[in-house]
Amino acid sequence: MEFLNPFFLYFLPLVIIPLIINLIPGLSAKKIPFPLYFLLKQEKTGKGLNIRSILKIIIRMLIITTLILIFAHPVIGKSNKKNIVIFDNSIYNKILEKGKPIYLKAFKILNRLSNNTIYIFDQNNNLYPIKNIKNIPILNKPTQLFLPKNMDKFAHITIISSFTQPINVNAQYVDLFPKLFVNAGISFGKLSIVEKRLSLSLFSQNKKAVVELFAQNNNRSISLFHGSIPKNSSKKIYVKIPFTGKIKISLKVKNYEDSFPNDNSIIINIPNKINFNLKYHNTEFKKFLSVLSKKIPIFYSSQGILISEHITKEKGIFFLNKKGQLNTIFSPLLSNQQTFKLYSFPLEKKGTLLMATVFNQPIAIYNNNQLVFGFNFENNNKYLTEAFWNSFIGAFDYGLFKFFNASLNNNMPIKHYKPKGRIKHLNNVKRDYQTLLIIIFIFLLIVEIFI
Amino acid sequence: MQYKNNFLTTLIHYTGAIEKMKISGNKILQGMFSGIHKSPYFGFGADFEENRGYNYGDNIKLINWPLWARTEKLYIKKFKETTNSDIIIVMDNSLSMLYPGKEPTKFDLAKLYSGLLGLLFLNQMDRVGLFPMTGKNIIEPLRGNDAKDIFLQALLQLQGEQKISLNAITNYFSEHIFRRSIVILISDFIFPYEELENFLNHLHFQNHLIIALQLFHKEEKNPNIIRGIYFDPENKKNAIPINKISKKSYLKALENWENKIANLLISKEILSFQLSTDLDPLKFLTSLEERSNKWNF
Repeated sequence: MEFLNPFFLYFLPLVIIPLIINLIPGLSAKKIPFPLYFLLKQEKTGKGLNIRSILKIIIRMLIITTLILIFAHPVIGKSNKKNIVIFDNSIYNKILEKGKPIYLKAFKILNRLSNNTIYIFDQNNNLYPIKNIKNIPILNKPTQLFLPKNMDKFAHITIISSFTQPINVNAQYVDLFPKLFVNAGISFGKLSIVEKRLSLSLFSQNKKAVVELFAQNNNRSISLFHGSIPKNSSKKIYVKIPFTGKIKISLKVKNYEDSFPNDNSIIINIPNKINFNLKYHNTEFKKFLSVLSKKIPIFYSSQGILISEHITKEKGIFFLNKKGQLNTIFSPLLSNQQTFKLYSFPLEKKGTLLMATVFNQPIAIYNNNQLVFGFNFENNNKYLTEAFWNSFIGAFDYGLFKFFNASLNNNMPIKHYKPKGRIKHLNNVKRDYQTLLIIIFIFLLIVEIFI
Repeated sequence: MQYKNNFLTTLIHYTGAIEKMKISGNKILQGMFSGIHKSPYFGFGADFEENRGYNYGDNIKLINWPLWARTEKLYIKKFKETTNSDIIIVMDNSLSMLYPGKEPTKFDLAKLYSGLLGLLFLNQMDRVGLFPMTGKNIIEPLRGNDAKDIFLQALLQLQGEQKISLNAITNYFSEHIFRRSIVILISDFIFPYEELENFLNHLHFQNHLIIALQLFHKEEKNPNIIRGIYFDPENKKNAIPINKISKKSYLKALENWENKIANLLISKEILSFQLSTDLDPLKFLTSLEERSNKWNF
């Protein structure tokens, strides 16, 4: 066991005070003048071997001991990990609280933590260590609290931020967010271009926020959502975007004037028509097939067709129509780097479609000139992971199809607004006995009163 | 009891009620002037007492002529003589009377009772004296309006003191008080039993009419006994450490002690009253007056 403040252990000799008080006659007992004192029956005094008085002395000594130990702060497993302090030097630190920018508050805390390695963000949202905390630049743009991979495994991280962006790391934190402010924000999730549907999480920090979500293009503006978000929590909603084209989706807080100036908007593009450009990589497709046969071996249509069999036979992607004829969507037996145009094919109402492609171009499927499936992918990933493949495999019923979502860039789903624990001390330990001691102290006090 | 801030205001509050009260003794008392008490002497009062044979030198105006006509012997008519009396208020001003420290203490109560009784007796032309048990600031029996001022002044200045010797008071009584008087003892009777017995013996021997007011504070009758060292306010060396709450045994001991004191008082033919701080003084005074009316005087 180690002590974080071993200085207080010097006070341990004070433990004998109750014993001394009891040993010196006349100090312990209360003196009461009473004219008829001689009528009171004389009992054994507290100074002798009275169990109650002995108990009382012991309890008083324990109370003093626990009090000293509480201040000395006993811990077990003081770890040898490095302490890293990450200071989020985003534009939000310029926000005024009571006339002063909140970064001044942060600098005070940084001064206290200056023994540790301090990291800040550069313009490209990368962390770098600094030596002098006096000239920390405050950026003119918001940062995103992405930490280097596995950083929290090798070091104790303390984040100093206003936490206007969601974060998901194990760390201690110092929350700079002004208590009077409300911060409501959006974390954009997935967009289905086919359905014109957007999934997003609304979150509110500090206070309950009444918010309204707008969709705007050049011509018009429409309210998509209007409601409230409880404080320190998030709400997952889906909204249907009523028009196509370049659309700005933004959030406004309605009930507070002094809301945190978060950038709560995103511009999405939902095209009127989607081209069927397909790039095909042969090797990747083989990989895909192996995945397909393992993970989703059978897809039943309403007619009960095993499409996987057809795939192995014909090596392609098919749809079985009502008459029992196989419609090939595309044939894989093609050379590398060939661009396809998917042709339209008849989809029966209860048919099931299995789709598997390597898409890195926008793709859409029409039925009777109606868009039934589409995908828009902007990253030019050369090496596609298994998870990526899985996201492109789907079976969907006509009319009730499951859509594939497009992840919007630079947004992540909300899990935490803040790291797990508010900053207590910089020395992370396995076990901290202070809380236990406080409970014991209160218990002893109660016992002392009632004994 | 309505105790109003201090002794004087409370006294004034009750003075109206005692103006017409009269209390006479049930014993033959010796006084200087005429009053309402029974005198050992015969004189020229209104009430006929007896006939006595004529002796040479008797006043011939007192010869009972109708009786001479019937018996042909000379008789002298004797009449009842009434007298005033000396009222000696012996007031306990020991430290035990200052219990429980906040007003009204037993001492406040004692001052109030002695003030009321003093004024009452002064109103009926008796001579009233004040004898604090400490033996200091004694006011010898006086009467008249000046006596009221002196008596109240002395009462106001009276304070609780530590050293009390009943033997000294006994001596004082034997040296200074010769007439049969009314002695009013106002005390809590917390004294060594033998000393108290001697003192009362002496008073009894002098044939005084003794009225004892035994004062209690209501907290003495029903104390909240907590752990601690209980000590005698008069002598701090007398202390009893109490560790276990033993209220029952205290109440039993209190009852025994009360009986012991009461027996002692009765054996000395002392009229005694137990007065608690929550009792209305008027109740006591009216009961005293009623009893004095029944004394077949």
